[in-house]
Amino acid sequence: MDFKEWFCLNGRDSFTIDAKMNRGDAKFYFGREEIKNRIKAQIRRSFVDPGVPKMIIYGSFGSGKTQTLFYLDYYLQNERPEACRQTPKTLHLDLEMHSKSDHKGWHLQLMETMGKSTVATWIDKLFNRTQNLDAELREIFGNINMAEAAKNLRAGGDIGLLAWRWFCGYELRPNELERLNVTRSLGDLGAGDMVNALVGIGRLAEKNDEKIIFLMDEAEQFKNVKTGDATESLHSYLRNLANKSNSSVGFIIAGYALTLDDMAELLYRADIRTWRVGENNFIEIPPLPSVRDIQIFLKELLGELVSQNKAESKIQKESLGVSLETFPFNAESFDLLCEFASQDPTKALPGAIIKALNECAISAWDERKPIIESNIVNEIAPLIFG
Amino acid sequence: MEIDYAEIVTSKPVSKFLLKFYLSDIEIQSLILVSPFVGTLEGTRVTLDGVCKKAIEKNIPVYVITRAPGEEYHQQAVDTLLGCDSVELRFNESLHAKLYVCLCQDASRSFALLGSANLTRNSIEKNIEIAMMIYGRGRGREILRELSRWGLERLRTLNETKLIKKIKYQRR
Repeated sequence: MDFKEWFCLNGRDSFTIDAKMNRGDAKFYFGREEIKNRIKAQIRRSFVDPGVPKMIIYGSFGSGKTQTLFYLDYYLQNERPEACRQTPKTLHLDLEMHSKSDHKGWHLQLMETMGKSTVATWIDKLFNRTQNLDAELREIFGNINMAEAAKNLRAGGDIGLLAWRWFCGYELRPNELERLNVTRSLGDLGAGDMVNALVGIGRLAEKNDEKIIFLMDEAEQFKNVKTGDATESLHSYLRNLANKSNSSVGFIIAGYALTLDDMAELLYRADIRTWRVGENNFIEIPPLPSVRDIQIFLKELLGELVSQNKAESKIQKESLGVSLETFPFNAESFDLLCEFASQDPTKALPGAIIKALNECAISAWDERKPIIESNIVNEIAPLIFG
Repeated sequence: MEIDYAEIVTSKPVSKFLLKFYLSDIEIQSLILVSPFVGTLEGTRVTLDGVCKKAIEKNIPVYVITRAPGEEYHQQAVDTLLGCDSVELRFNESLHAKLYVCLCQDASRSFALLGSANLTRNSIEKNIEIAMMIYGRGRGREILRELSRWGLERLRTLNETKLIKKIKYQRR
């Protein structure tokens, strides 16, 4: 018998949940009803005004920020808010910033995440529906250069690639600009110009019944940026993206920060916090606040990860004398783990609790014990919560 | 886009990994050392004893999976590991993989080494080895997650992997 059979795991190798590796895990959001409902309510509102979510999520390492992003993706795909008329086109990316990264690097990451073929397909579909693609693209982008470049995206080979490079913000040579029939490179005018192109693509997506929402993780990367000019350009990019006039490209940015002002300063500057993103859209993912919350978290997690039928039959067959709700713990060891986890409020984090659960299970497995008893919790929990 | 999350290492790969771990001043969550053969590394820049001392000082759990020692040098290394409270030691007789992972609190600072090199002095000073160093940047982060899960969960819970020594908690 292997580890997963030993603990009646539901088609998984361990108690770890990781939506990045296993998209099926995105549906889990244990023990955090209040915050879950708050975020969902904000997202529902955001589809009414300004038309797309613009949100910044922060919390400690292991607090569940990444899981929140994946859960929100699941929510948007499976319980689409009524006010969202198009199908959400969610795009995940892990932000990467270096000391000199500026708005161009950020824009490139967003464009690369979206991909040339996605945008080209939207233009193709529009072409198949419209009598006058040129006029339609000019209306969508509100800019002749962008409309010309967009039209060229449909073309295969060199010219299509050139058009894509233009949209990504690369500096093109004069003869390349001439081939695209544009008068300048995107970004010559600054961050606002690049955001306009992105929002134009967002409008193009809407014409194809899709709504772009970027889910950006690792926002602490913005702290790597050390150059003043680069920071200002990133701030300007965010400021434009968060502008009320953008109702086509949404974003949810998540990153490590213990408090609001622990984030990269450009993310919580007054204009962003008060006017653009808005105070209500800054969401802290705190540790689980009480023993009761930890108990709920753990019970919900076990209820999903452990096959209830198999566990029930094992409990009966082997007369284990434990409740199905807390299997593979007995009542005493379950409470003990929850108490350990709650001793230091800053460490009562989903990531740490899952790690403790896994380590306790591995320890019981080493001793071929069907149940995690208190002595195991006493041994493992201080390593994680101590 | 330029790939900056992986690097091929042909010169003393294990030494490079250990040195990076040893000199690092960032918060390390855990160290995973998977190698069929392990030596004390005496005479090299970072010894096994040095790794253990840093692990104890910084309270870093170290998970070591190796084969049961058949030779004196391997036994000496196992003795060093047995004497370190921060080490969990497991034996697996089918082990052939060589994987070293350093998981940091800030995932972007984590790194791993995957390749041919055992954790021995011969691999550092004598053998021709090749390995891939993977950093927690960009796509490297996902690779690191997979590698650490393989080492921390899959390999540790295989039926033929036997627990030899647990980590001993030290109250601070």
